[in-house]
Amino acid sequence: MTYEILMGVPEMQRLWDGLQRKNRAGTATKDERQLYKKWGKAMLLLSQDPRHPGLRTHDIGPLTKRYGMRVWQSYLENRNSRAMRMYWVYGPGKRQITVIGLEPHPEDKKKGAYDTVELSDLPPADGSGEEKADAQDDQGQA
Amino acid sequence: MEAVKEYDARVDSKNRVTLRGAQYEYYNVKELENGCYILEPRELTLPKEVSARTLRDMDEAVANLKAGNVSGPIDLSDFE
Repeated sequence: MTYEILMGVPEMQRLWDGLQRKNRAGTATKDERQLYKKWGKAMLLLSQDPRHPGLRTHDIGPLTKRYGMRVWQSYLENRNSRAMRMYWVYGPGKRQITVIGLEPHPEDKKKGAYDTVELSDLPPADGSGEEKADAQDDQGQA
Repeated sequence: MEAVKEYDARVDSKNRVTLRGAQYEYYNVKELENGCYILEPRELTLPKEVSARTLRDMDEAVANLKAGNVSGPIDLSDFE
Protein backbone atom coordinates (compact mmCIF):
# COMPACT_ATOMS: atom_id res chain seq x y z
CA MET A 1 0.00 0.00 0.00
CA THR A 2 1.57 3.30 -1.04
CA TYR A 3 0.48 6.80 -0.19
CA GLU A 4 0.79 10.05 -2.09
CA ILE A 5 2.57 12.69 -0.02
CA LEU A 6 1.12 16.19 -0.12
CA MET A 7 2.35 19.36 1.52
CA GLY A 8 0.43 21.64 3.84
CA VAL A 9 -0.18 25.10 2.49
CA PRO A 10 1.51 27.51 2.57
CA GLU A 11 4.65 26.88 4.60
CA MET A 12 5.44 23.18 4.05
CA GLN A 13 4.81 23.55 0.32
CA ARG A 14 7.02 26.66 0.17
CA LEU A 15 9.80 24.95 2.10
CA TRP A 16 9.75 21.72 0.11
CA ASP A 17 9.42 23.35 -3.32
CA GLY A 18 12.33 25.67 -2.51
CA LEU A 19 14.54 22.82 -1.32
CA GLN A 20 13.78 20.69 -4.35
CA ARG A 21 14.28 23.50 -6.81
CA LYS A 22 17.65 24.49 -5.33
CA ASN A 23 18.89 20.91 -5.06
CA ARG A 24 17.98 20.09 -8.64
CA ALA A 25 19.55 23.34 -9.86
CA GLY A 26 22.72 22.68 -7.88
CA THR A 27 22.38 25.93 -5.93
CA ALA A 28 21.51 24.46 -2.51
CA THR A 29 23.70 25.16 0.51
CA LYS A 30 25.18 22.25 2.45
CA ASP A 31 22.41 22.45 5.07
CA GLU A 32 19.76 22.53 2.35
CA ARG A 33 21.27 19.50 0.64
CA GLN A 34 21.31 17.57 3.92
CA LEU A 35 17.74 18.51 4.80
CA TYR A 36 16.47 17.67 1.32
CA LYS A 37 18.09 14.23 1.48
CA LYS A 38 16.90 13.40 5.02
CA TRP A 39 13.40 14.74 4.51
CA GLY A 40 12.99 13.20 1.06
CA LYS A 41 14.13 9.76 2.22
CA ALA A 42 11.87 9.92 5.26
CA MET A 43 8.89 10.88 3.11
CA LEU A 44 9.64 8.10 0.64
CA LEU A 45 9.54 5.65 3.56
CA LEU A 46 6.36 7.28 4.80
CA SER A 47 4.74 6.85 1.40
CA GLN A 48 5.66 3.17 1.36
CA ASP A 49 4.94 2.31 4.98
CA PRO A 50 3.91 4.86 7.65
CA ARG A 51 4.61 2.11 10.22
CA HIS A 52 8.22 1.60 9.13
CA PRO A 53 10.29 1.24 12.34
CA GLY A 54 12.86 3.71 11.06
CA LEU A 55 10.27 6.49 11.22
CA ARG A 56 9.33 5.88 14.87
CA THR A 57 5.85 7.13 14.08
CA HIS A 58 3.67 8.11 17.04
CA ASP A 59 0.41 9.92 17.30
CA ILE A 60 0.52 13.18 19.24
CA GLY A 61 -2.52 13.43 21.50
CA PRO A 62 -2.46 17.17 22.23
CA LEU A 63 -2.25 18.01 18.51
CA THR A 64 -4.97 15.48 17.70
CA LYS A 65 -7.25 17.20 20.21
CA ARG A 66 -6.34 20.64 18.94
CA TYR A 67 -7.19 19.91 15.30
CA GLY A 68 -9.92 17.32 15.68
CA MET A 69 -8.02 14.93 13.44
CA ARG A 70 -5.33 12.42 14.32
CA VAL A 71 -1.89 13.99 14.01
CA TRP A 72 1.21 11.81 13.66
CA GLN A 73 4.88 12.51 14.16
CA SER A 74 7.74 10.75 12.36
CA TYR A 75 11.47 11.23 12.69
CA LEU A 76 13.68 12.22 9.78
CA GLU A 77 16.64 10.27 11.13
CA ASN A 78 17.63 7.69 13.70
CA ARG A 79 20.14 7.55 16.51
CA ASN A 80 20.07 11.28 17.05
CA SER A 81 18.45 12.81 20.08
CA ARG A 82 18.08 16.10 18.21
CA ALA A 83 16.56 14.55 15.09
CA MET A 84 14.14 16.63 13.06
CA ARG A 85 10.53 15.51 13.09
CA MET A 86 7.64 15.95 10.71
CA TYR A 87 3.99 16.14 11.64
CA TRP A 88 1.40 14.71 9.28
CA VAL A 89 -2.19 13.62 8.91
CA TYR A 90 -3.96 11.12 6.69
CA GLY A 91 -5.93 12.68 3.84
CA PRO A 92 -7.48 14.66 2.32
CA GLY A 93 -8.16 11.74 -0.02
CA LYS A 94 -7.68 8.03 0.36
CA ARG A 95 -4.06 6.85 0.15
CA GLN A 96 -2.90 10.41 0.79
CA ILE A 97 -0.81 11.87 3.58
CA THR A 98 -0.38 15.61 4.15
CA VAL A 99 2.73 16.91 5.91
CA ILE A 100 1.66 19.84 8.06
CA GLY A 101 4.79 20.73 10.03
CA LEU A 102 8.53 20.29 10.46
CA GLU A 103 10.29 20.66 13.81
CA PRO A 104 12.50 22.48 14.24
CA HIS A 105 11.83 24.71 11.27
CA PRO A 106 15.15 25.19 9.41
CA GLU A 107 14.91 28.94 9.90
CA ASP A 108 14.48 28.47 13.65
CA LYS A 109 17.53 26.21 13.69
CA LYS A 110 19.61 28.95 12.13
CA LYS A 111 18.59 31.40 14.83
CA GLY A 112 19.54 28.92 17.55
CA ALA A 113 16.84 29.81 20.06
CA TYR A 114 13.11 30.14 19.50
CA ASP A 115 9.85 30.32 21.40
CA THR A 116 8.31 26.97 22.24
CA VAL A 117 4.83 25.91 23.26
CA GLU A 118 4.05 23.11 25.70
CA LEU A 119 1.99 20.49 23.89
CA SER A 120 0.01 19.71 27.02
CA ASP A 121 -1.20 23.34 27.20
CA LEU A 122 -2.71 23.47 23.72
CA PRO A 123 -6.37 24.43 23.39
CA PRO A 124 -8.41 23.17 20.45
CA ALA A 125 -7.81 25.26 17.33
CA ASP A 126 -11.50 25.42 16.47
CA GLY A 127 -13.31 23.99 19.45
CA SER A 128 -13.40 20.44 18.06
CA GLY A 129 -12.27 17.56 20.20
CA GLU A 130 -10.93 14.03 20.08
CA GLU A 131 -14.35 12.54 19.26
CA LYS A 132 -14.09 13.97 15.75
CA ALA A 133 -10.53 12.64 15.40
CA ASP A 134 -11.67 9.04 15.88
CA ALA A 135 -14.45 9.46 13.33
CA GLN A 136 -12.15 11.03 10.73
CA ASP A 137 -9.32 8.56 11.10
CA ASP A 138 -10.75 6.11 8.59
CA GLN A 139 -7.82 6.22 6.21
CA GLY A 140 -5.77 3.75 8.19
CA GLN A 141 -3.64 4.02 11.27
CA ALA A 142 0.10 3.81 11.78
CA MET B 1 18.89 -13.32 29.89
CA GLU B 2 21.41 -14.97 27.57
CA ALA B 3 24.39 -13.04 26.14
CA VAL B 4 24.32 -12.58 22.35
CA LYS B 5 27.92 -11.42 22.27
CA GLU B 6 30.89 -11.75 24.62
CA TYR B 7 34.38 -10.33 24.32
CA ASP B 8 37.19 -8.85 26.36
CA ALA B 9 37.83 -5.14 26.05
CA ARG B 10 40.71 -3.00 27.16
CA VAL B 11 40.36 0.49 28.57
CA ASP B 12 42.27 3.00 26.41
CA SER B 13 44.54 5.82 27.56
CA LYS B 14 41.48 8.01 28.20
CA ASN B 15 39.70 5.33 30.26
CA ARG B 16 37.26 4.52 27.45
CA VAL B 17 35.93 1.15 26.40
CA THR B 18 34.53 0.55 22.93
CA LEU B 19 31.17 -1.21 22.59
CA ARG B 20 31.27 -3.27 19.42
CA GLY B 21 28.19 -2.77 17.23
CA ALA B 22 26.22 -0.83 19.86
CA GLN B 23 22.52 -0.88 19.01
CA TYR B 24 21.67 2.38 20.75
CA GLU B 25 23.27 5.78 20.82
CA TYR B 26 22.65 6.62 24.49
CA TYR B 27 23.02 4.55 27.60
CA ASN B 28 22.46 4.98 31.32
CA VAL B 29 25.60 3.80 33.14
CA LYS B 30 25.70 2.42 36.67
CA GLU B 31 29.03 1.67 38.28
CA LEU B 32 28.88 -0.96 41.01
CA GLU B 33 31.09 -1.36 44.06
CA ASN B 34 32.58 -4.58 42.72
CA GLY B 35 33.87 -2.85 39.58
CA CYS B 36 31.06 -4.06 37.32
CA TYR B 37 29.18 -1.65 35.07
CA ILE B 38 25.55 -1.93 33.99
CA LEU B 39 24.60 -0.17 30.74
CA GLU B 40 20.92 0.32 29.89
CA PRO B 41 19.85 1.81 26.54
CA ARG B 42 17.93 5.06 26.54
CA GLU B 43 15.43 5.78 23.77
CA LEU B 44 14.19 9.12 22.37
CA THR B 45 11.11 10.31 24.21
CA LEU B 46 8.16 12.06 22.65
CA PRO B 47 8.70 15.83 22.67
CA LYS B 48 6.68 17.78 25.19
CA GLU B 49 6.85 20.99 23.25
CA VAL B 50 6.89 22.35 19.75
CA SER B 51 8.15 25.68 18.45
CA ALA B 52 5.66 28.52 18.20
CA ARG B 53 6.48 28.82 14.51
CA THR B 54 5.82 25.14 13.80
CA LEU B 55 2.52 25.37 15.65
CA ARG B 56 1.54 28.41 13.60
CA ASP B 57 2.47 26.58 10.38
CA MET B 58 0.41 23.58 11.41
CA ASP B 59 -2.58 25.73 12.40
CA GLU B 60 -2.56 27.27 8.95
CA ALA B 61 -1.93 24.00 7.13
CA VAL B 62 -4.78 22.22 8.89
CA ALA B 63 -7.20 25.12 8.36
CA ASN B 64 -6.32 25.09 4.65
CA LEU B 65 -6.54 21.29 4.49
CA LYS B 66 -10.04 21.38 5.94
CA ALA B 67 -10.94 23.97 3.30
CA GLY B 68 -9.64 21.64 0.58
CA ASN B 69 -6.43 23.57 -0.03
CA VAL B 70 -3.28 21.41 -0.16
CA SER B 71 -0.44 20.91 -2.59
CA GLY B 72 -0.52 18.25 -5.25
CA PRO B 73 1.40 15.00 -4.70
CA ILE B 74 5.11 15.72 -4.44
CA ASP B 75 7.81 14.14 -6.57
CA LEU B 76 10.11 11.86 -4.57
CA SER B 77 11.88 10.30 -7.56
CA ASP B 78 15.23 11.77 -6.44
CA PHE B 79 15.20 9.29 -3.53
CA GLU B 80 14.23 6.04 -5.24
